[in-house]
Amino acid sequence: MFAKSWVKGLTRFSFTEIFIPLIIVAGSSLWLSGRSTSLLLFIKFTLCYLMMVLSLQVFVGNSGVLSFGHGSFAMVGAFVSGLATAPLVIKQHAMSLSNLWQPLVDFKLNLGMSLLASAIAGGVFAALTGGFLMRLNGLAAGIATFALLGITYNILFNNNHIGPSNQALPGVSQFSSLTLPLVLVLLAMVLVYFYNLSRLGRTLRATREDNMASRGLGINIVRVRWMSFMFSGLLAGLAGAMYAHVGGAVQVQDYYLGFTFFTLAMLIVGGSASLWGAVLGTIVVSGVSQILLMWEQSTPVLGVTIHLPIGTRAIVIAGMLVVILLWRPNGISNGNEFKLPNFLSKIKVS
Amino acid sequence: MQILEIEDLNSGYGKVDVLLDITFSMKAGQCFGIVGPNGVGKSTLLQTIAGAIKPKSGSIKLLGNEISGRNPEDIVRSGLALVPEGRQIFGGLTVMENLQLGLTGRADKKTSHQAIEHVAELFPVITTHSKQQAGLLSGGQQQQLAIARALITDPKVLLLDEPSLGLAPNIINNLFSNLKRILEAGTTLLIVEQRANLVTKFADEILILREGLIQDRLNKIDAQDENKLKKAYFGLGANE
Repeated sequence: MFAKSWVKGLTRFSFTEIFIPLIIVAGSSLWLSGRSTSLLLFIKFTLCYLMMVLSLQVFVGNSGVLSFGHGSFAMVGAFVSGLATAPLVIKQHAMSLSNLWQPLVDFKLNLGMSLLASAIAGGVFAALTGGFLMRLNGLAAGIATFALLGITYNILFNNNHIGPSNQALPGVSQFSSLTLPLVLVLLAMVLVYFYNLSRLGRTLRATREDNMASRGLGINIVRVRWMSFMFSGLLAGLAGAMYAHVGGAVQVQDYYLGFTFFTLAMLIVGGSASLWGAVLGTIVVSGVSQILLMWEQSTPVLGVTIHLPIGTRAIVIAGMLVVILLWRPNGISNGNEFKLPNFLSKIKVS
Repeated sequence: MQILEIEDLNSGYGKVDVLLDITFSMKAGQCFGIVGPNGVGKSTLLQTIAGAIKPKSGSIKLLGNEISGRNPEDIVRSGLALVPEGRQIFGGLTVMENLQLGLTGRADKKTSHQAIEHVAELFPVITTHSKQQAGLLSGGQQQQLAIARALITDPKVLLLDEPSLGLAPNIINNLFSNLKRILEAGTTLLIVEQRANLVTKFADEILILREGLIQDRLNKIDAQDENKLKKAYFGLGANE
């Protein structure tokens, strides 16, 4: 009998591993967002970053292949959602959009459908590019994904037939409240958790541990990676769209090197091998970054004002990254999912 | 019926030739042992048969079908599995998850649960440590898991590379009695082993490999004669 459950079973499912991170993300988002409008905006952006870090966790965390290319999917998602929700009057009259291809001028979707379209666009773009990229390993794969980021950026930055090129696309409809981005992120967290437990996630982790042994068990590494890349592209497309709907504008520069560095730093600081790592990394790096940004602008944080030179934020986050890589290479979570502290586990048992 | 046929197989790494014109064949249910000193190409032979190394020339047929040069993932689906030297279990995954991965290469998915029950009966460690991280198992337990995981793929031919490596004598005895049971169940075994006496007990034939060539072949009776085995192993001629 036990063997039947083994064949299909989600072998590591634990209620606390998924429930507690959900509570932490939902609770802290709702609590902080009610305190001020600036904190509400910060929480909305943090949720966008968390969506992007979840996307990276699905692929980078499970495959061990570093991807710099996920910003491409976020760019595509942002452009699709931005163009779908920007008012017609802006698309017809904005200087930056004067050469926009007519079908894109006429392209119109509501917010919900535009988010869906952006996720599909990100997933399709990942599927198309992943067919080639997933054949590469190690350093070559990382460099190739970086090339993808550069190619996508330069196409979108220099072509004003498919978007605003190097200008901003204004008037993108914004999230009216925290509800939609929060629900999307919570749903994504549940999906990513179950993906990590699924046969596909497990198989991808096996390829990360030992490429040759995996092939010796009949695992087609290219196909397994490709499917994961597609799923993570879908989440990245959604993350890009959410970012556009928080900021109310789309600008391709927002998704390039800074965005890539920032989101990868979140993943590595938290720990790339688990959902909990992605959540922790996003919270820690976003929090530190926001505090440093405010001090760079000489704004008090909890009554404390420190005058920091511009650029401190990036230096500190890069420093955090180095420290983590040196002393805790599996990130703050150590690659583990959330676990109750021992004393609480004992209380629960007794 | 010949289940595995190797003919004029040449293999190596880059410009280095390791295996030279290897030819032998096995019938279903047979066990062959490959013995020889370090560095003569024993592991290279198994890896070439399993598809991990592309052969330079020659033919490898499994059940009459040419598998030479095919990908390892295709070969395992055709019915040939390798338990590599060093086990290569996935240390970060649990015992159960390691076994589930073995199901990927299994052609008949409907009988997956019977396969798991079968290997659990052979190797009780699978049930007693099912949720334990595989990397935390002892060497002997890891070897049992590696063999069980390969068996899950439902191989007609099972290749084992140095299964006794790093194991205590009592663990080795237990392991080889399990291999005997696997053989009796009809799986063809090709075992590379430094400790020749371990395979001579039940192998139908011993191939002595030196300098990339099969230098000698001993049948079951000759292989159990220690003098003949020593002479063949050290290249003094089996029949002197």
